[in-house]
Amino acid sequence: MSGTIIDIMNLSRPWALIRSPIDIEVMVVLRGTTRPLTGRDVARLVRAGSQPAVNAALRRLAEEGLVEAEEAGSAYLYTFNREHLAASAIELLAGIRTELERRLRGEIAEWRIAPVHVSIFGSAARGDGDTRSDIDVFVVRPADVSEDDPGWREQLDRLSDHVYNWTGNRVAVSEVSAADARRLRRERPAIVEEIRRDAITLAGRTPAELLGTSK
Amino acid sequence: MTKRGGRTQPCDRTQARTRLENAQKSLEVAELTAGDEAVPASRSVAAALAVLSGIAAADAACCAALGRRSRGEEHREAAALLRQIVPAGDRAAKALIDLLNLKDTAHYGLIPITRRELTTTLRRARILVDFAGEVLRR
Repeated sequence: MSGTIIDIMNLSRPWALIRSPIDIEVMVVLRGTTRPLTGRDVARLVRAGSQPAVNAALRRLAEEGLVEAEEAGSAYLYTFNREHLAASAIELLAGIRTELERRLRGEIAEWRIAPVHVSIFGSAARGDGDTRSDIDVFVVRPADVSEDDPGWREQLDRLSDHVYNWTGNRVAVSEVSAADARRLRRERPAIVEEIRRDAITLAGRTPAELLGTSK
Repeated sequence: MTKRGGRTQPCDRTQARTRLENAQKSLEVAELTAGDEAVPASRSVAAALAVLSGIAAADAACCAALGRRSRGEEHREAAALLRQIVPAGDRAAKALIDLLNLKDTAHYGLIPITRRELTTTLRRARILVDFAGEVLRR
């Protein structure tokens, strides 16, 4: 690559740096490591995108200066240019899922009525949801708190409102009492296996402690 | 003599998911075994499972972020790979090295594992499992 980052990047239209979902996929992969990766490595690691599409994105992002390309034999090795003016914007986009988990944990830690357990499960936990997907939240209510306790309900409603404002996705709460959780542990319906396999614990006991180990 | 370099093999997100499931399962069983105070060997068995869990989780994180994992028994190479994952790869690498330092003790039961050591070991395995899960969700 020749020239400086500034004279390559189009400063009049900086938002055009990222033009397609593949660009973001590629940047999420490169942002996650300091190790130089080949185009083939990146294509293997993206969630979606063919090898030619990934290679085209890498070449263009290298022209923009967001990605550094170094010749290595017949291939190129690519790294994220963390000094680029847009690097912090990429970091922000790539870290959105982690930020959601951080905010949720922070909010639940402040609840006046502490839950036995809260986790995200389903597509949001697996990372394969889209804009229409609900964010599935599994909540276990303490034994001494009734389902319609106003303080408890208010906590859950506020959490749902905040998640909607933060993400644009609705929250689907699956709420059970501590007694229900013991029954689920015995009966093991399909949802228990799903929670045990995918859930990201946000507060309280782990799914294994709560629901037992998988079969 | 320790050979250096070339101790990695390619892998992908599917293999990462499989290794993470393995790590989660090992950690679950470790946590359950740790609670069984009636059997004297429980602590070393639980610690050994926690170490296995940490190694599998390290592989999962490396496969998901780098497309490579350490080959065979080269677990210390895995720590070097983990450091290349950002953010938080450094912390995961430290947790793995601490687990590996306990590996032989835990596996062979040479020295009794104290309750405190076991708690620390389980916590380190949990750090690695959570880290691998986070890397896979990126």
